[in-house]
Amino acid sequence: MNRRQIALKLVLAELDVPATMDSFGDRLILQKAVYLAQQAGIPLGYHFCWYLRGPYSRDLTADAYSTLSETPAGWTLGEALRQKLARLSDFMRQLKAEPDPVKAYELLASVLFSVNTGQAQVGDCGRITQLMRAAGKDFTQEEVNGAVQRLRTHSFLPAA
Amino acid sequence: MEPSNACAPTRSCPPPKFVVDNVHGDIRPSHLEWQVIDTPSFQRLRKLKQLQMGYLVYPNATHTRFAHSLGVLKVMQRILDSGVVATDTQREDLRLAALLHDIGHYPYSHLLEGVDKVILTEERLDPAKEKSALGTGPAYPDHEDVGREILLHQPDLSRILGRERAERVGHLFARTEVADQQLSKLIHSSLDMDRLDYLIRDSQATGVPYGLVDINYLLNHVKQSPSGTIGISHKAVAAAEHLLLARSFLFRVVCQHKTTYGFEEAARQLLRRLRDRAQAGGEGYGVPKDGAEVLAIARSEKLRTFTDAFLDDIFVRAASSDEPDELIKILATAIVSRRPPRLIWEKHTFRKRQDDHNDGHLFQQECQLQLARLAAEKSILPGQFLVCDLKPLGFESRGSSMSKAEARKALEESEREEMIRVFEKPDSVEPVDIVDIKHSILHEIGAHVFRSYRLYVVHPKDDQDALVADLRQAVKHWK
Repeated sequence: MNRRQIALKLVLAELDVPATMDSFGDRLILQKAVYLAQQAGIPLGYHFCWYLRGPYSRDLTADAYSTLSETPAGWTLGEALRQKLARLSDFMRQLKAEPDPVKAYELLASVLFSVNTGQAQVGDCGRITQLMRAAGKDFTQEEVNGAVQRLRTHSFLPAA
Repeated sequence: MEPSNACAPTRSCPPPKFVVDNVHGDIRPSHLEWQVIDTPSFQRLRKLKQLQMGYLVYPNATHTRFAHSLGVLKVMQRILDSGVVATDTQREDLRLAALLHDIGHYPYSHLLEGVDKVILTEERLDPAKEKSALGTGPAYPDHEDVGREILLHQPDLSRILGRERAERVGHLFARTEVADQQLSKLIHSSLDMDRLDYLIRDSQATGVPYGLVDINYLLNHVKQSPSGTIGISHKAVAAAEHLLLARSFLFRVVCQHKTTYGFEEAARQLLRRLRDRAQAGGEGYGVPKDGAEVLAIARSEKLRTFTDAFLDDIFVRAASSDEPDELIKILATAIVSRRPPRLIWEKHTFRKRQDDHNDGHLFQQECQLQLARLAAEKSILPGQFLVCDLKPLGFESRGSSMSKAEARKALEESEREEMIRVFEKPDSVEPVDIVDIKHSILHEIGAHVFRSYRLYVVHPKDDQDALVADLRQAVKHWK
C-alpha cells in the first residue's frame, strides 16, 4: 500500500462513500466522488480522463481494487482537510438521498469536468448540454442547469 | 488560422526529412511535426531517459523519451494507415498526440512524479505514531496534466500549433475529449499501442529479449469497428498474448530488477525527504514543494532544465559534506557513488489479486515490530532500511486491477479501458477484451498478479558484506 492509497481509503471514510466495488453503481459513485473531492481541493493527485460515463481514472480503479480491503493504522488527513471533507460529506449525503444517486453523481461530475477542462464556459448551459449529448448522455437542459446551479452553490464553480 | 501542414517538395521547400530509427526503420514526420520536434520543449525529451535508473544496471539503457515519442508517432501512423476511418484533422491531431504524449514527463519520469505516494521507512515502522497521508498543498500532477500545461503555455509549441489545435491535441493525449465519442474510442484504444514501441525499444537497449514482440504482425492486423474502437484480428491473438506476457516479463526483469529498484527506492525516499524539508521551509535543493510549483515550471523557461540532470544535480548536492541530515546524505551518496542498496530479504507471489494475506504482508508486519530494534543493534538508522511492496504486475492491462470475473461483472465500457481488444471471429462487428476469449491464455491467468516484497539496506561504505550477512541471518525467520 502506498501513501496515496492510504489517503484514498481515509478520504472515502470521511466522505461516507462506501469503499465497496461490488456493483457498477458503487464503482461509478466512487470514481465521481473522488473526482468531485479533488476538484474541491483534496489533493489526491489522480488523473481523470473522459470515458463513456464521465470522468474516470484508471489509477483510481487499480488503487480501489487493491486497497479497499486493507485498513491503514496511524494515518490521518490533518485538521484542515478533514474540515473540508466534512463540508463535502454533507453534499455527498444529499446526493446519496437522491432517487437515482448514480445519475446525480454522473451528471455533476460530467458537467464539472466539461467546464474545468475548458471545453465549455461556466454559464453556457446550452453548450454543456450539447457536449453531453454529443458524448451520448441523455441529460436534459433543465438537468444541466440544475447541476450548474448546484455546483455553484457548493463552490465547485464560481458564482454567476 | 492554424499553420499549414502542407509542404510540396519544391526548390524552396526541400523533400521531407526522415529519421532512421533502430526499432521502426524510417520515420517520416510531417512538416508541422518537424517544427514541433525542433522546439526546445520537445528537445527536452532527449534529456529524459526512458528507463529511469535502469542504466545503472543495463549500461546501454540510456535511450530517451525523445526516441520513444518518435516511435509512437510511427506506430500511430501505421494504425491510421490500416484503414481506420478518421477525418484529415483527426488524423493530424492523433499523430501529434502520439508524438507529444510524453511531453509532460518529469525528470526520471515516474520517480519524481510519484513522490506523493512514497511512504518513508520510519512511517512504516511506527504504526501507532500519527502521520499525515496527504500534504496541504496540491499533489504533483500526472505527467499528462503537465503535458497539457506545456502545450498551452510554452510559447514555442503554442506558436506552432495555435491555441485551438494545442487544446485539441492536449485533450487527446490527456484523454479528456468530451464531445466526440468516436474519436474518444479511437484515442483510448489506439494510444495504448505505445506499448508496442517501448517494449521493443527497452528490450533492444537492455539486451533482455523478452520484450521483442511481433510488432509487424500486430500492426498488420489492426481493425476498427463501426463504433470506432480499435482492435486486432482474431488471427493475431497469439501475438497479442505474447505482447501482454512480454510486458509482464520485461517489467519484472528490467524495471523491478533488484538493483535498479533498490536505487530507485533510495531515490524516492530521498526525494520525499527533501520535498518535506522544502515544504517546511528548509533546503530542498530545488525539489518542487507541491503540484503548483511543478505546473509553474511547466509554464516557464525553467522547463528546459527540468531534465534528468535536474535530479542528478540534486543528488550531488544532497551527497555533499555540507548536508546536515545524515540519512539524506547516505541515500544520496549511495546513488551518486553507485553503491547499490543490498537486498536483505525477498519474497515473490503469483496469486489472484484479492488474495493478499501472504508471506509478504506477514514479513512487513514483522518489520514493523522488529526493524527499529535491529537498526539500533547494528548502529544504523532505521531509514537506511528500504521496505518495499512492489507494484503488482498483471497481464491484461497496464493500470486496471480487474480480474476476469470482475471485468465480466462490470458490463460498462468505462472500466474496460486499456485492455487489448480482439475481433474474435472473422465476422465479428465489435471487438471483445482479450480476457474474454476462452482459448486465450489470458482468460485463465488474467486474474493473477505477480508481486514482490523486498527489504534492502543502504550503506555509505563499500565493504559491507559482513553486515549484510548478519542482517540476512537476523530476518531469515521473520516470515
